[in-house]
Amino acid sequence: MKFKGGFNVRLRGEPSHSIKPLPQCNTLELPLTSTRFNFSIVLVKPGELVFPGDRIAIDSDNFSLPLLAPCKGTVNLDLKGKIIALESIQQMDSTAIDIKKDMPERYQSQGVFGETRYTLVRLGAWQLLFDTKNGSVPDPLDKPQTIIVSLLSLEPFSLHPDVLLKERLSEFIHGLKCLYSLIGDKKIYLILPNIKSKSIDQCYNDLYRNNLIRLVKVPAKYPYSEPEYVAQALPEFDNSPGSAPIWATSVEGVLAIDQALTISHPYLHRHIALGGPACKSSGYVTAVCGYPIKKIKENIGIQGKVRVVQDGILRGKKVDENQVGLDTECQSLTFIEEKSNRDFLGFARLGFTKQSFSNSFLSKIVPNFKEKATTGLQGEHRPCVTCGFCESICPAALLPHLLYRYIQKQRAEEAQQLGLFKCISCGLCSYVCPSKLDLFKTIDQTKKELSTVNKKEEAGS
Amino acid sequence: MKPLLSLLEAARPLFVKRGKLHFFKPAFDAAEFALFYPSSRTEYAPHVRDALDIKRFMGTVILAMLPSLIAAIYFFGPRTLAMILVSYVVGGTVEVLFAAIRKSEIHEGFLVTGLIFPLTLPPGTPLWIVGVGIFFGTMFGKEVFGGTGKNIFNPALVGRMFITIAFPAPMTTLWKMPFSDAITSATPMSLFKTQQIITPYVDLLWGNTAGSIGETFHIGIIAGGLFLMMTKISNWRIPLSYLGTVFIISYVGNMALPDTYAPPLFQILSGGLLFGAMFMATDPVTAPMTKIGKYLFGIFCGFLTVLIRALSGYVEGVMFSIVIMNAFTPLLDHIVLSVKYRQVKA
Repeated sequence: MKFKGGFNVRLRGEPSHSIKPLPQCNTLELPLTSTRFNFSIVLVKPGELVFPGDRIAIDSDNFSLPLLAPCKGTVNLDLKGKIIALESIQQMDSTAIDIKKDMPERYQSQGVFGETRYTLVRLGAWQLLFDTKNGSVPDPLDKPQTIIVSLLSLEPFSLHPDVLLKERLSEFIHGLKCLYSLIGDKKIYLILPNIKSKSIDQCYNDLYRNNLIRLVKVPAKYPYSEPEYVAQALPEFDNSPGSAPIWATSVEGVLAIDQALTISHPYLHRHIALGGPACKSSGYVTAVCGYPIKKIKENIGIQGKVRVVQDGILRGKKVDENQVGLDTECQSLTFIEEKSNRDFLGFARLGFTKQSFSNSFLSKIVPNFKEKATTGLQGEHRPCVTCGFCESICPAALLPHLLYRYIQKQRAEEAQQLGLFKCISCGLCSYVCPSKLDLFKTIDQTKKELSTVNKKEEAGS
Repeated sequence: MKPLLSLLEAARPLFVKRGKLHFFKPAFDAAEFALFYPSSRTEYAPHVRDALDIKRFMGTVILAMLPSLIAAIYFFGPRTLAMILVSYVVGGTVEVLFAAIRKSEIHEGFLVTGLIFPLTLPPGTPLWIVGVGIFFGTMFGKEVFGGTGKNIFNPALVGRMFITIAFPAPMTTLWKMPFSDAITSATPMSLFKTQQIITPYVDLLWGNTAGSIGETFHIGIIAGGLFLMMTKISNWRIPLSYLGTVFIISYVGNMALPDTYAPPLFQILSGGLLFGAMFMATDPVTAPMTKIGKYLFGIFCGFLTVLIRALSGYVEGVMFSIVIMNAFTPLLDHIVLSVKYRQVKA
């Protein structure tokens, strides 16, 4: 396996490894849309009483994956705002759910195989799986080449698997065994850093003897931790068109699968990493879908103009100010100050407080330096000067500036020939660009547009 | 710094649309943003960006040329400063006018071009020739192609080449030794070409020779070039392959025809080779973007430089070789890319 490019963006404000409680709240507002999902079919009526684990909506485009009620409460619908609100909620211990009651024909006809798969779908664990090719939800009845599980997370401020592993290592190992049988006794690929760690060694010893896993040791450098990257870089995977998909999941996903298959409990409480330079008391919290973001902000003392970013500052999305509750995919919230001041002679500063991929700032000589980042663009938009930074940082060995140029000239086919679909959307090209071009956004959008066009063509033919 | 900022804010209405000085908005913006970084924010992922921008990118190049610049002023007196000033004023005017006509922002590239260009001239060059050269270079080397990032040739070299051909006499005779005002025509390169005299290497290194104002102090150029490579602003592949090729070819040539081909170390330490290899061949816009393309670019540049130096009527071949290879840059990239992505196409 050859490593190319990659870069660790070192910023101040990584979440501390402590899990904190969140205060109770009375109302949950569950958004019906998130990055991958659109729960368009609502199954509940206003005023209806729901219990933890009940299906309240399903996503008809994504294999009818359900949105589960996280608590006991009364339904109030706001379909214009695409929200299901649960009012006067009560915390209840989640109980085992009988899934056989409403199993669709599609799964029933597949016997035990279908039943296991439906359990995961019904109990909310399936949404933690994704296809490494395009990040979409895999078909529950599909058979993958393998599954990749990453024990690393290197995007700044993201959920660190160590926090979960420390407490629930045995469940994780059991979950891996479930996963192994789930995909038809194929080896699971675990991504580990090539450094020594006690929990990792323990995990390794137990699993290796069972012949369940293959280890992929990667340098601790972003984005090698991402399954999309490993799926592309490892030679034993078949990436040719038409080959069986490669799935991936997180540590959280393995735990959810274990919980669903061993005790039939739904996946409702998720771990969320709270961090970022504007976050005074960082850490991890356990929250349910729909928990008000405002309350989280209050709880950790966020003041002033702060941008909330969900799921990583390099790839994640800005949380809309109107959005009230956490959506179903949220894994981390990052709080960054919005840039407002203007640096006097900014370009001529010595740069002890600035981090850069190039070595043209004096922070290079400061040991263990971490920048206090803001949302500033740190410069002006300029035309591309082919400096080659995006090329040298690109882990997929692409020429992002050339792809960008072709896309700007409406020559997407040429961009495809240069490997547009090899892009793993890590966001590093945009991060590093001195001309501040929106390389990542342009390339990512084109990729998505082209893949929907291709899908339609496939369906048409 | 608040009073200055509010002064700028107060002047802004003059330059907005329908303001009296709207035509000069690019110049105003450039001045404002050079003093105060704009407070613009990221809109999409990645939400945090690298601190390097084009201003600092170009600023680092200028920083790397400082040793050469200081040596030039020290060796050839304050007239050097006048040459640089003329170059900046004329080049800057062209850049500002084009930005105003195009209604785009002013790009920082001219700060580098405006400094590189005078540093490649003989110390005695009349100031009006400096002006003509930089005017031609910025106008026909860069702006007519569409400005920064779109030019095919290095603008400083286009200007230099134009005046070399248009005014051959002053460009080849007005050399001076450091600390002296006497005109001489004996640069180390011409001394070898006419009389096969090899100037001592120590003199070449310290710049105790006649030559273009910025290219004689070789220690400073080496330091600046290494600094640029260390900061990742310039790519090491081109200087390495360029200088390596010059070394190998002149080594072989010198063995065969010692009177025509100068020895390798002399080749590298005389004339504008180091300056060209470190600061001009590495210009990211006009050099190939592919890695193999960069090696090929350097190799061909080295090849042409030695051949022109040894076999043509010109004493120096660095300028011509880089400009010729600039023209082949798109072709080199095209070949490398089409070989690399051959399977995908089929």
